[in-house]
Amino acid sequence: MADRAARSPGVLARADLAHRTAVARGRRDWTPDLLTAPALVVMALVMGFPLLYLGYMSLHRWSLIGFAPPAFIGIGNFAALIGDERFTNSVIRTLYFTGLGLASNLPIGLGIALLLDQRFPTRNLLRALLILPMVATPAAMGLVWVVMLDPSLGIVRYLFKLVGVMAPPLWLSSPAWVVPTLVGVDAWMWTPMVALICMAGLAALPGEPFEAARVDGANAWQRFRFITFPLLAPTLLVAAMLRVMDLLKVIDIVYVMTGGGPGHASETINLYNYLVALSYDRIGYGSAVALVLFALVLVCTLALIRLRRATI
Amino acid sequence: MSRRRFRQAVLLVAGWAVVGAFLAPLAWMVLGSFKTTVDFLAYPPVLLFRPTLANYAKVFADNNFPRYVFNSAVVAGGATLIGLLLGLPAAYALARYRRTAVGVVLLAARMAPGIAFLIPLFVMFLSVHMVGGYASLIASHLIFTLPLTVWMMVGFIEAIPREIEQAALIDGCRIPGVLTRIVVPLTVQGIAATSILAFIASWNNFLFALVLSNDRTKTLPVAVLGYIGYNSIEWGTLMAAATFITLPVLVLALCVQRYIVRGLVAGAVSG
Amino acid sequence: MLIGRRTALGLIGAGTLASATRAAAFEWERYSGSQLRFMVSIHPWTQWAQGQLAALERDTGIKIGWEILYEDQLRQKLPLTLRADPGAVDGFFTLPSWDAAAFSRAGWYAPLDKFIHSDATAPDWGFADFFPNILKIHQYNGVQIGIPITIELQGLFVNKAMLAAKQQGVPTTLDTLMSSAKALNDPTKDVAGIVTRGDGVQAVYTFAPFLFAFGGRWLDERGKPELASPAAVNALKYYGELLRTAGPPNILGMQWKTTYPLFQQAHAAMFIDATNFMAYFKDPSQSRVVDQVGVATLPAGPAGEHSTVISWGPSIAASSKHQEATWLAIQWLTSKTAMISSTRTTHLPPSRQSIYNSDVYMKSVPPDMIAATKEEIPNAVPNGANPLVIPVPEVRAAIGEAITAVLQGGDAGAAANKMQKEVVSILNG
Repeated sequence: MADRAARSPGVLARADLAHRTAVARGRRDWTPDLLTAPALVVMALVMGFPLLYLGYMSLHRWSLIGFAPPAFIGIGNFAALIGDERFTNSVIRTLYFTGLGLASNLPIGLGIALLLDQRFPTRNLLRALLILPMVATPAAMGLVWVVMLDPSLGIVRYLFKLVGVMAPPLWLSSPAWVVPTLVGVDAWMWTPMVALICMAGLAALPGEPFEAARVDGANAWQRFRFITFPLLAPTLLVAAMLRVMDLLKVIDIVYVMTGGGPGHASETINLYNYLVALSYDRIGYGSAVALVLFALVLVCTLALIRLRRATI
Repeated sequence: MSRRRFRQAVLLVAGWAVVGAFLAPLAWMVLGSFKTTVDFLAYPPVLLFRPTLANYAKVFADNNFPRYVFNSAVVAGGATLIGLLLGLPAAYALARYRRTAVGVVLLAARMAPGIAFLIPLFVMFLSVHMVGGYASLIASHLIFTLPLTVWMMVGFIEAIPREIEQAALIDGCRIPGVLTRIVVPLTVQGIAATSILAFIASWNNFLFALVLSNDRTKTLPVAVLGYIGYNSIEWGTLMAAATFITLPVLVLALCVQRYIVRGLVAGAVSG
Repeated sequence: MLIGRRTALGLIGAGTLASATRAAAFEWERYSGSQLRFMVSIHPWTQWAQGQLAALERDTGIKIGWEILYEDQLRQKLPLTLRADPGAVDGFFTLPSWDAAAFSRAGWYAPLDKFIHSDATAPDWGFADFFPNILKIHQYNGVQIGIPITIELQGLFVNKAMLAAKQQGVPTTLDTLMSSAKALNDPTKDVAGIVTRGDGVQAVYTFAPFLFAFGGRWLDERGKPELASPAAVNALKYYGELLRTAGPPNILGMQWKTTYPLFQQAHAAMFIDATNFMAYFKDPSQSRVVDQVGVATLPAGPAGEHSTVISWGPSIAASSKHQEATWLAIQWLTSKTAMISSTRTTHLPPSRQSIYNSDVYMKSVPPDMIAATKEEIPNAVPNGANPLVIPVPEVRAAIGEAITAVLQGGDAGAAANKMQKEVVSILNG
């Protein structure tokens, strides 16, 4: 193949021109559509159609066990959402969760990336090992964390005692601390991802600005503040975008670790959605909640994409 | 010690401290899998204890455990394979022809909460008696394996020099040929990494399996909950099962760790 | 292990040669070849039963697909399957306190009376052998909808050594319970005076006996919620105070899966929950209180002492196309012989009088358990674990919110009123 690639530029240019001319003449090149068709068809079946159905269900009062047939109530469910205190609390709580998550994941991930960007022995091994929390099965790890965080029997309490903190918070049992604790577990799992993304970003940074700065006598902090950080902004926003998408939707660890408790102190939108739809058997209402959650994620992510475009 | 050596030493210690902290819970889980329940629940926690293999014996003696492993493998394998078959051509179109419609749809899929699909899918599958079958599980997992596959492959395909393909096209090769004879061989590592990440995502998935599987097709993350008995929790066995479930994933991930970042970032950047 | 049917009959003293012959005349193989599907949840009995399926097939020729699900999953899957896939499930595991109202309304239970009093039942199966008021647990509107397999009562577990060390007797009234718990509470030594469920939704079960002890009830005669009564307010106040002042610091949100290990690891002096937990306190491979654990009747309040009594058991799906075969299978699994085996394996109190009173059960549990449960049974509230309504999860959540509120120091009266309002609104649609 390599020898063919070495053909004269003229031949290649003509081939390219041929394609572009065909397109310009309005003769559609069907190739790309055929390539994407199977994927789009499947997506339509497992995603598109269900979403439409979800929208349909959200306009009804619908019970799966079916003591009454589904009844069309228009935007009744959405109107009820506004007055549903448990729902609005879950939205605020989820936003709080997301905010805390970003505030912790990004700086710590960046810090780890800066550390592992340096050259020292075993660095590559460390980078490899860092991915492990990311890929461990969340459901299983959630249960492990529950045991570790147990205020009476857990090892976390023991470790705090060793450093002299005799009465650490009650973690998952404290209404005030349960969300930060869950953010902590989530951070344990996903900060490595942020770190890895930042490492890739750091690796792609050009060397000249740093050289110039060093020549000008800038110290490490100044180099970071005026060169590294601004250049890394787009990368950080990518990491932020990926994290925001997952933080807003968190359910796995909440379900397994607290079930939304104590009381409703850790009930995120997604968990409330699950309970309403599948436990309380109010599918229509649950569909409305799901749509609202979807809209929320869309809005936040698009905002971040905009922000990123502005920084490039 | 020279300044440089000292700095290296500090970095080394710091690096291991950080990574060690991240690995500690995993280590605790593995340690716990060798403890009896009494030792596991002991406080202060015991680091020195009489290890036992009884927990693992119990996990494997359970008739159903191999079945759950099989189920997880079938579902993850199926979702990964189908994701590849559908996703590779689509990624090519996105990379070479700028068919951004697909990209947008897939990004939306990534953003949507699983439950938004789960509820209608559940109702739909229920009415055609498909709930609990492998087909419904695999179909639902495509919701995340397909976008992930396209997402990652776009980046790898874009890395192939255009000239190679165009040369082949001139030589009379049609697109299917280009895909099979050029793209696939040149992105083999990318395909491997993508497959493994998709496999991991599917293997770890909890919510879809919780709702869509039945006893026969239960996957491992759901099965782990089964160790929470009616009146007691078999902690040691739970840790053994958890270790066993996470182990394949950890090994696979280490094999492709170089490509994980590329995959994660690729779609987001071009999006 | 299952012992021969004839030997068992001899043991219980119910076997004369005549009845043994009659038993042999009953055709256990009459539905040979049937394939049934049961949907059950994780429970020691269902796990025992799973091990019996081979023997069942050998005796009756019936093959059963025994699907064991995580309890949450069962609660989702079962109603949906019964509704959307009639005939898919032949038998299922039911907890009447939770299911009876909803399932009866939906017509999903096949009434068992017509089977029990017909020749579809083996003559020596012994319907009369079951405790009558335990059978009532599995009756709804007078119709027998299931066969109870165990008796699940609640009890007060105590760590005798800890009580002795602080010169506390076993509390018999709510007042002494409160004072003893406070006396036994020792945060500096990591020991809680008492522990029970603090997670709102789960605590409904452990809160119930307090509600009854103050003279309250979930619903009035017309089936309407009575959750803002003075008794309810007093019970809430008591529960909150008890756990806030003498419970572990992290009581809020504590589920059974974290309460029982506290007692089991000697970090709590007293524990209230189902008597089932005794087995795990007596298991040397996990418990540190094997020799110290004792159990007593629940303490009495102004209206006496009233444990809840609930019972899981198999039922027949009304849409099943193999109801007779399913009944045969259920008979086999709940026969006297079978129950001897299941009691030996699970150590749970059996629902059959003959077996309950026999050595099989009596010798397998400590004497204080026998004494405590004996005293509780006459006063126990059948299916009292939660209000007997159709939307149980939602109503439990509403009650749970009130419990959570008092555990955080909130006013019991306000919590009770809120709870009443919410439950009324849930029941109204």
